[in-house]
Amino acid sequence: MSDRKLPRLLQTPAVLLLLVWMLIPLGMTLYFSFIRYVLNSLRRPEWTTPSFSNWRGFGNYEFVLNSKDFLFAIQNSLFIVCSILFLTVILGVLIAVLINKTFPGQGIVRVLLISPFFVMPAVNAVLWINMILDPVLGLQGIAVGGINELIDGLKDAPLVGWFFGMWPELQPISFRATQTSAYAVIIMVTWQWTPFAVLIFMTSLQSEDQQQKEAAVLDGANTWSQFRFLTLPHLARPIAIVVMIQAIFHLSLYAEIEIVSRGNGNKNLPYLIGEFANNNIGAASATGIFAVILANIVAIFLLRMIGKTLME
Amino acid sequence: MAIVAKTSRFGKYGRPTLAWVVGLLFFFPIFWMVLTSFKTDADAVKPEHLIFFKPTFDNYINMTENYDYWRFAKNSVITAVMATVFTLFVGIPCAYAMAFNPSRATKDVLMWMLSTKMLPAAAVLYPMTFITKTAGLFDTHFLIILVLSLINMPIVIWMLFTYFKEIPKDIIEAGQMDGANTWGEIKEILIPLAWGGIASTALLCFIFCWNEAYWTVRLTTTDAATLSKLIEGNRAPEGLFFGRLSAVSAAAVGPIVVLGWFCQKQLVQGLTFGAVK
Amino acid sequence: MFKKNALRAATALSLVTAGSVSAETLTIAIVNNGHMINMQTVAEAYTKETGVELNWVSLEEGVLREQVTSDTATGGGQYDIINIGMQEAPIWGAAGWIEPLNFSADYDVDDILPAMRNGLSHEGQLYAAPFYGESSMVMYRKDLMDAAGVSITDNDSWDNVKAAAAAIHDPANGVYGACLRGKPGWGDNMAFITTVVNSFGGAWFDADMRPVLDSAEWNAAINFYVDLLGNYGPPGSEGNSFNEILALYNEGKCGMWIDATIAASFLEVDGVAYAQSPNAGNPVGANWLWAWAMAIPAGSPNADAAADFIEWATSKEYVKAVGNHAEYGWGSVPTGQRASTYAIPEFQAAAGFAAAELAAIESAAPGATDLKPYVGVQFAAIPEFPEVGSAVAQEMAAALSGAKSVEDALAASQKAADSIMKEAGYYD
Repeated sequence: MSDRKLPRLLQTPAVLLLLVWMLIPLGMTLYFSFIRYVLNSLRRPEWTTPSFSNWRGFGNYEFVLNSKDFLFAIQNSLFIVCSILFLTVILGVLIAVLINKTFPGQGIVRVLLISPFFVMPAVNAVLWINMILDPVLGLQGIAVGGINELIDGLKDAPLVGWFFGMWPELQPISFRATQTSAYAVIIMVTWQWTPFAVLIFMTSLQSEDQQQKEAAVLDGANTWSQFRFLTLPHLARPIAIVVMIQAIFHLSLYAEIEIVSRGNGNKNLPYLIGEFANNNIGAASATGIFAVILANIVAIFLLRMIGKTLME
Repeated sequence: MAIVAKTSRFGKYGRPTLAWVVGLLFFFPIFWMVLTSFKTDADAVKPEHLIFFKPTFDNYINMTENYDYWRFAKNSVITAVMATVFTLFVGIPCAYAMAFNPSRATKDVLMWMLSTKMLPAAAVLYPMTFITKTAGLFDTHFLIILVLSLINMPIVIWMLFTYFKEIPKDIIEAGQMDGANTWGEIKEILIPLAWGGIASTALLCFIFCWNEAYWTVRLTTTDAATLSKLIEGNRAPEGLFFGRLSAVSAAAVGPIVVLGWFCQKQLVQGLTFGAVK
Repeated sequence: MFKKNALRAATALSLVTAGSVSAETLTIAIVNNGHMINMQTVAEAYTKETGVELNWVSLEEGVLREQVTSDTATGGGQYDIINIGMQEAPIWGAAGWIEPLNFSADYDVDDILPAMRNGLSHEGQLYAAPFYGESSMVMYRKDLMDAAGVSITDNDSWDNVKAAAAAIHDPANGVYGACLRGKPGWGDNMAFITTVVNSFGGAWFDADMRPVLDSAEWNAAINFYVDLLGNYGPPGSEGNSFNEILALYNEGKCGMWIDATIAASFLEVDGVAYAQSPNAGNPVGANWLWAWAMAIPAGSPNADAAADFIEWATSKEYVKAVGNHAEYGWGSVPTGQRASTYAIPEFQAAAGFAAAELAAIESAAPGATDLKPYVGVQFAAIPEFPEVGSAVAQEMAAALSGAKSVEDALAASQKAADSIMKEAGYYD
């Protein structure tokens, strides 16, 4: 068989499957985004059947663009994704460097560290928001209550009482509030995905050139400059890859947003779609098209960033 | 060697201590969940029973008796295993062709594949429900396996591609000289050579399949419902719930966490995504 | 709607391929609530007697709505019986998504409380049978109130309620004056908030179905709500709904709780007393009306068997079956659906809240009135309400969090509601 035909043939099943997986839903989304289509309407029953006679042009797009949370959803989406990326990369590099050298119990520490990565997103969210971050019944609430009680007790103590008397009462933070719900999601997703970054960075560190490092030590390079001029450049590629994979996953966060605050103060395009999809499929589809456009912009950006290293 | 001496002091005590602290901190939420799962719902929110309490298996018994845990677990295993196998079956030849006979379009095809992962699922919930019902596939293992495969295929092909690219071309070409056909090449040469990479790809794919919670919840009723759906049914029951919720959660993530522990060496060595030269 | 015949064929096909569904199996979607869970056990007797196997799918409320909507909107077939509420029943009935329900004479439809029957009917036809129903009332710690020298009476004024909350509010000792719903959601914080607005004389829409969230009544009601819950509520109230507050209450953290009457059967704290919901001098009190009901989606191939099961599960016999069940007893029978339940002496003895609950349900009027042109007490029975309600719910949570002023939140709510209603074709 000729050199050209065979590779194509081998790629065909995967490409075809993904093409169908992409095109059919995308086609339907596009179609619905240009027509009036609602699941249930008492006033306009004709809108409940998808048909070209309900053609609406860009009306759905206009409605979505003018809707209350559209711009906020895009902005916030980028904010959460970038924050998570920033935190996971920093923490990931630090932790990978920390546990790279052998020490007693290294295997166990590694196991402990990577465990969060295996947890289901919905479990992650309910676990954090209820049992850990809840301001009254969660560990946060219990801890704050305990500290306040302790300080209260110390206020009556002889000699040091005046000192503790000046301490303010600690207030627990509500992580479901408008101002904080995005941070709650950032915390829980960072917890889950830092292990992924650690895994990749650790793998990469194992292939670091040790001779080069020893030479640097002999030249009198301190730990910081070793890290700065040898380790960090070595990690550039894995960092790019961690950023890319995580960006793909986090653009479509859903369960965490739903469970933490039901969109209060924290939203992204998939969540907005879900809100419209309650009844207004036309608007949900138009939002879907916007989400596809945003995803492609991010994809092009990522392609620029790592496309070259990918093919080297 | 003053520097070495200086660093080794930190290396001897500081580094292990810090590493242990970080490891325990990251593991703590999971530990807490498991601990809570042995408390009654009432004890779970009482500060005085934070650490000391009378352990009970009631939550687990309730889960297996009233919520049919094993059926969900069985479906999770079936769909995740089969989806991983199918993804590799389609993905290996594709990545092989891309790695050893790349064309100008290869990079773009790869990026296009990855971009399909960014399509927002919520927008196509109704079309998907309608199509799968019309095709008679709704709530079947087949459908869930197919969907999980398609969701993970881009990442799998990309990972495999990066591993295969590291294999010197002449090894494969030597095989061709010996008259091996394509399938033989893949089976006899490629798979043994890239075994580590394939294994860690499979692991990652399996983890993602197990944890998928959009389509597995929405395209199933009972027959193909996985553990994600069990979680959806229990994440906000009426009444006090920390104990019950913890047990269901622990039982849903338990198998995959334990699998991860056993395979962590493999993951550590394999998760390069082509980042290692 | 999608083509029905093709769909029927398709669903039939899918059921065959699924291989598990014979005429003897019913798939039932339920919310994960106590009474529903009990039903799974009690219904084992039904299976034994009739040979009909029951397949339960329990889901979180929001996911259940999404699933049931996507199933029904695409022609049904996934479930034989679905758990829906009062918001959906009349509009789904009107849309032909669910089958009308007609029962035998033994069923005694007239025994179902009139408020429930009206709320679950469309044009006089019952579309969903109530499994249990609820209104809302004040539940409070009488011991704390007595100690503070305050009291709450039936249909008290809001000012007095606030004064009582302030008197018992003692955060240093972990007791908060008032625990109220704050979690965004049309069925969560908006359920409570709407009843407050109702009692202040406000409504969601005017006679032309234009939203009137910028009215003085809304402003006064929301200011009151934010003031009460913000000052005398537990921290993190923006995340609290029924479940969370129940946990808090049973931990002794709440001095007062205004919520579903059903909560009374879960309370384990001593010194609980009940009072009818407050009002603000208007004819409408601040109590809601809700029922978890069972309906048959239009595409169900087992509609007859499903109707039989619903008839059993919402009958007087079912109530007795739970009352006499070894595991449950009269304290756990589903309430709020039938007048006859409240006449059972064993039930009266076991449930101290029975009288208060019945009074609250009977005083709730879901029908359209001069004050509000739509059906529903704490919601409007129109298909667009979940969208409007969720949008407003988030604004209210923002006001409660202090991220927005009440005025800004209401202005944003009005704008969002207006654009949704305009989009839906109610007016231009």
